[in-house]
Amino acid sequence: MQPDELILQLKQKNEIAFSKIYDMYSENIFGIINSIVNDAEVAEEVLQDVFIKVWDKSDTYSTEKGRFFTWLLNISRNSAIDKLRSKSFKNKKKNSDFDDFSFFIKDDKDLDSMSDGFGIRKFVDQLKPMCIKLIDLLFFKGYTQKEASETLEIPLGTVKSRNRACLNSLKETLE
Amino acid sequence: MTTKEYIESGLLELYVCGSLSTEEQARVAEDVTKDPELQKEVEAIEAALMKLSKATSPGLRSTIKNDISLKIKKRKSSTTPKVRVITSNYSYFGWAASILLLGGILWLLKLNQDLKEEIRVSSQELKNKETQIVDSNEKAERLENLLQEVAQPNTKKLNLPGNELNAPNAFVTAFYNEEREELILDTSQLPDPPEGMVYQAWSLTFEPLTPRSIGVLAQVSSIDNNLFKLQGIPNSEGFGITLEPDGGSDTPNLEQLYALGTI
Repeated sequence: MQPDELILQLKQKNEIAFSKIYDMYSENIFGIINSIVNDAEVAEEVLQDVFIKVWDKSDTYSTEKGRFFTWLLNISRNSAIDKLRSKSFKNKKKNSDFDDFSFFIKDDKDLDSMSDGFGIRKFVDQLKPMCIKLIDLLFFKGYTQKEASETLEIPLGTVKSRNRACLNSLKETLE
Repeated sequence: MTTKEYIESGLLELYVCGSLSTEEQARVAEDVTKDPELQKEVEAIEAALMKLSKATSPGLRSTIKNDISLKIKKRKSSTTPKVRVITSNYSYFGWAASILLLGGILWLLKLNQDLKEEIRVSSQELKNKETQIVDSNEKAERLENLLQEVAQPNTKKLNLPGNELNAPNAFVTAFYNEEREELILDTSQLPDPPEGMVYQAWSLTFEPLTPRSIGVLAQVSSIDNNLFKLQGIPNSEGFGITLEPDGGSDTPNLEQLYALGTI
């Protein structure tokens, strides 16, 4: 469920609502940002910028444009990509053995069985490489359907249906 | 497109990921609000993606939230105006009281000035009155002296009738004390002398007619400009008053004789 009431209060610059929204989405956003910049320290900086933008620009969000989570995703991915292109970031050393989001998913043996991330590793390991690539581009990197189609050299319709199939299996696993 | 076809098209997944164009996003958003089944599906996709993204988080330090809160508080305080314009009633009362007080002070200053001016005028008037009183006393004293002399037993009263030609209706009253050689003249019934001319008094002895000046009246101190006391009067048989040019003359101009009388 989307926290419509909290979003309304956020738009009215209510700090308590902001705090609750932060609690609800910050880890997800942090995961997204980190999957792009691949540096926890830099990701923290970007995350701070993102939530300040959320505070400043909350009045630009409306349910008619889409999901609040999608709106957050767009701000986060754009901020992370901006950081990636910045001069200060280019001078930093990066992990070389990083391809996509799956690199950051922890093993179940490192997690509590009650943790949200439990079972994800197992699921991701079973995913076909094409699925991982599609989810990485579309969800984590914010590619459009067309951009993903060009990058992966598969038809537009296939991007849509394959992505659906990949995410559906995730959905079923998590239910 | 049925709801089932809509769900299976994969459009909703792209919608939640934000991979559609702005127009497509808005269109799907509208479709979803109309169909609870689509709504449910969208929320399921979102829940799965949230779990997946959360699983990629390296773990957020709890201090970050506090840092952001501080930054937001700073923004909040910097966007609210620092100088608050005080518009409460109390401030209006304050201004009103100040203006009233100022007005009151100015009024008191004005009042003070007016009173000072009044005192100045009054004290000037008082001085004038004092001078008048002194003058009156002096005049009364001289009149008393004069009266005492007139009342002397050997003082003779003389009538100097006006000359037919020059002043037929005029007359001068004289009081002559031969012993003291003093003469008092009352010229109140003579016309005022014209500009540049003065009355001169003469002592007369007859056979032969010998006039001697006993005083230019303008040069003798008088009481009320009409009563003159002349001293050092020689033996006389009569007195005359003539009109002479300023300063007086050595011999009387008989054509300008105004009053004449014998003892």
